[in-house]
Amino acid sequence: MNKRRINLWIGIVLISILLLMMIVSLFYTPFPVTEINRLERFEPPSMRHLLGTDNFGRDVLSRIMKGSQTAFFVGLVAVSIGSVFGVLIGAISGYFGGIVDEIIMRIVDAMMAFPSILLALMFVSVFGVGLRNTIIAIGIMSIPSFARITRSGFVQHKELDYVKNAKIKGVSNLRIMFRHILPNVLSPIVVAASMGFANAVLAEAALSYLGLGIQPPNPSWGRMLSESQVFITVSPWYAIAPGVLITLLVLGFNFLGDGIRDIRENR
Amino acid sequence: MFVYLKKLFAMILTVLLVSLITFVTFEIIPGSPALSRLGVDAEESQYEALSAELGLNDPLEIRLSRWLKGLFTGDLGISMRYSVPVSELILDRLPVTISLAVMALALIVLIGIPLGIVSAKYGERLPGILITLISQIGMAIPSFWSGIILIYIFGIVLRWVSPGGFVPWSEDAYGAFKSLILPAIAIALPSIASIIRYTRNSIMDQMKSDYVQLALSKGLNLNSVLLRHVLKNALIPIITVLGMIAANILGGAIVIEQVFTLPGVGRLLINAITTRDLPLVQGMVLYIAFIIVVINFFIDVIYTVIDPRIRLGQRV
Amino acid sequence: MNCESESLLEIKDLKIAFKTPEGIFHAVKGISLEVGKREIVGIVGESGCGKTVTALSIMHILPDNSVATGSIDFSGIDLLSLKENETRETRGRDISMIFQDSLSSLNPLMKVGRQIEENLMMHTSLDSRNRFLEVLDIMHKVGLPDPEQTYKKYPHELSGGMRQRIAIAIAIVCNPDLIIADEPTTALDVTVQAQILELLRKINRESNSSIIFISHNLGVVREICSIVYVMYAGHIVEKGPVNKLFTDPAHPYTMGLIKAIPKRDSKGKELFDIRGRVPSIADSIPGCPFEPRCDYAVERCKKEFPGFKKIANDHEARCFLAGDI
Repeated sequence: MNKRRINLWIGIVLISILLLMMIVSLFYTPFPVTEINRLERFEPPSMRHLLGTDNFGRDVLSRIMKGSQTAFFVGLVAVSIGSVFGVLIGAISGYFGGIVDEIIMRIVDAMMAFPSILLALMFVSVFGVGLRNTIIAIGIMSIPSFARITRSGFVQHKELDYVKNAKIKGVSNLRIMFRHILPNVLSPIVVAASMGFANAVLAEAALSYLGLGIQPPNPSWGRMLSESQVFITVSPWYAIAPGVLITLLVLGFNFLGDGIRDIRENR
Repeated sequence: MFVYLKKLFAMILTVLLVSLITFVTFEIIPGSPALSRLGVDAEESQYEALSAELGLNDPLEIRLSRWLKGLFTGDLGISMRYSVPVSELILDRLPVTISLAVMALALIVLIGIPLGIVSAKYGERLPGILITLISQIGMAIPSFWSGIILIYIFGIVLRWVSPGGFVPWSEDAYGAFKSLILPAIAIALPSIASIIRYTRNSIMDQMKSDYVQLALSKGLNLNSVLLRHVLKNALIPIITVLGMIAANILGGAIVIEQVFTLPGVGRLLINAITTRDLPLVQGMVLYIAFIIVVINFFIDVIYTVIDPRIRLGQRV
Repeated sequence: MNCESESLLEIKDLKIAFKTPEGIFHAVKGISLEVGKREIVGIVGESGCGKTVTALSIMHILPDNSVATGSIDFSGIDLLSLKENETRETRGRDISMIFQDSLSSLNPLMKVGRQIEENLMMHTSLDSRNRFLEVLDIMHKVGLPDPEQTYKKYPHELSGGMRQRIAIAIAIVCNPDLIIADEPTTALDVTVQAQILELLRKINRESNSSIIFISHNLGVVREICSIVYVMYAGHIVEKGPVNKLFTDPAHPYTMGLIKAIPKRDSKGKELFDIRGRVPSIADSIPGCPFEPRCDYAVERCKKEFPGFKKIANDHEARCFLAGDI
């Protein structure tokens, strides 16, 4: 195995394991996720409950597995929103330049200077909490980074000969932008998408931890952490699994992003 | 001097822009603030009276001009929940958050940059790789989780600090430090991790420069080359990152104050959001925007101090 | 042995290899050269032929992933057998180096005067007042106007020629026995280039320093050097006194380099260029490395790389046809 590919492989392995868990959870969890069992509250890990039980006697492993659906779903949709709008805005800004570019980049810079969690919080404070708004909020907060990366690619490529040739041939601007330039500037966008996925997972967890993200009964790792904190003196092990899972998923996508960048830079 | 004035002007413009955006955003929210303050059971007459008192019935341009005027006089309106001026509430909470932020920043700079230097010095050898790997993991750990773990270890198991609550500096400086150090660590960890990476990459980039070879050819050893030549050059890109770090710290504080139940701006903000105290949210967003703009202004100033090439006004 | 030819630096069978993730690259493949006291010796070759790496190995500042074997004898000490820290005393005091691009080789954030002074800090026990005076003195010597003002300037505030004078001042401030000048005039325009060459000649005359002058331009080398080594793909292919090399080049590569010198009357005419490209250091060829580009190549050149053939007493070339073309 090539030494330079190590980041990529760690990323792929981590994500695959978690993805597998997510897929399994669609069909099977050891216990029903919402089954409340008053007799088995705060159980430590055992053969019956591998990761113990929570304050309602629910099986933590089952809830963790179910929570991975939320994490992947939020990450995927939020990154899609962020990348589609970000690429669109960045492409327009970079390709056409001028005053439009100036204004867009000012706004993008201003947004990037802000704590992204603050932007998401502002959004949910205006439009309310819940799964849909969490995803939109995280999606919006990831637009600026996609816009900036796409723009820099377009600014570089619009001066290149193949674009000039296409213009001379009379190819429409829209076609030049998305059929000619975009495929050539895609790899940094893919890297950003991977990192963006990691950030989305972190943001969802943070919002849900604050009680302003995913609402019960939907399981969320962030929410589980906030529940675990209340009962930390009674069952400290409950606080471990959700945190580890968030970390592993974020780590996976960060490694993946680094790995893709390594390959790109050494090609 | 002209450069600073220009930057100052841009700074004021940004704050104005942000205030306009927040004004418009909160203008389009459905539901009247008066209604949410009184509750749905309130009588029509009560509602009318309060709306008039709050000036909600005035036309848009009057409200906008009042908002902008308030901006310069520091009057950001009145919190619905607490019925106290918003700026008073914020100023009351600010010391906690600022202490927290300063402590976190100190940790980030004092731990992150030296570790980055060490990691760069070892390059691709084991200690360098190890530090990189640990920092990669550090960036992935959510700060509120490390906060919970810290509370558990140091508060519950070891009983070194009492979790939750804040002792004002004026009352008991050591107590204040003790109540802030764990949350500061939790906020700092991800940023320490990322600044290690930035420092390492920046130094390793600089090590490839010709001036490093010239310095070596003078007979300097590697350590002096690092300290006397490379470090200052490598710090320039790191200063850019400091703006991002500042945003991370503030974002981290919002969450971590919740974890440690610290009475800071972040906790106030979350309370304001959950109780839909919109004037308070609006005022706080503006406050935070102002802080960030000021930080970025200072970062620009630091730039011009450290890099003689941009004293003329443009970055190289 | 007479005083004139007394040897200062003697390199024997120097080989330099780099370890990279893609494999081992041999940048220098066994070269020997000699620099006498007060001599100006030229090393000529296209970029990538190993001349800069050779210079760095004499300075003992090769990158970590490199291995150098052979011997570099400097006034009786084998530099290669010493550890990096053992050569630090020598570096900057006895041997110093001038780099090609003075903009990138000077620290952009340090006043140029301080950068000269740094060398004195390393190698003398002068106090700061005397160091300052010494720096002003040396700045005056290399022809920098208004030393006290220039001392406080940053590299980007100076012109290319002035920056190169600073680089030279750094190199000579400790009065070294040997100065290695790596393409010191390449980045400069022609008039400034002539001034810098004159300055180097003056330093050689007045301070008795030997100079190794590295360049890709044989025309410049002709103006300053007495002995020239021609390097190609990690090998020395011809060596001799500069006049003989010009009047009677023995290696086809040297002939090409001479033809490639732009002449004053060549305005409007196409510049001569040796066909083909320098082989990558990753390629290994059993025969003569220049064979693929050589107009005179015969079948034998593909299989064998000849040793040095003597053309005259002090003139040799690694070519089967040396002296016959």
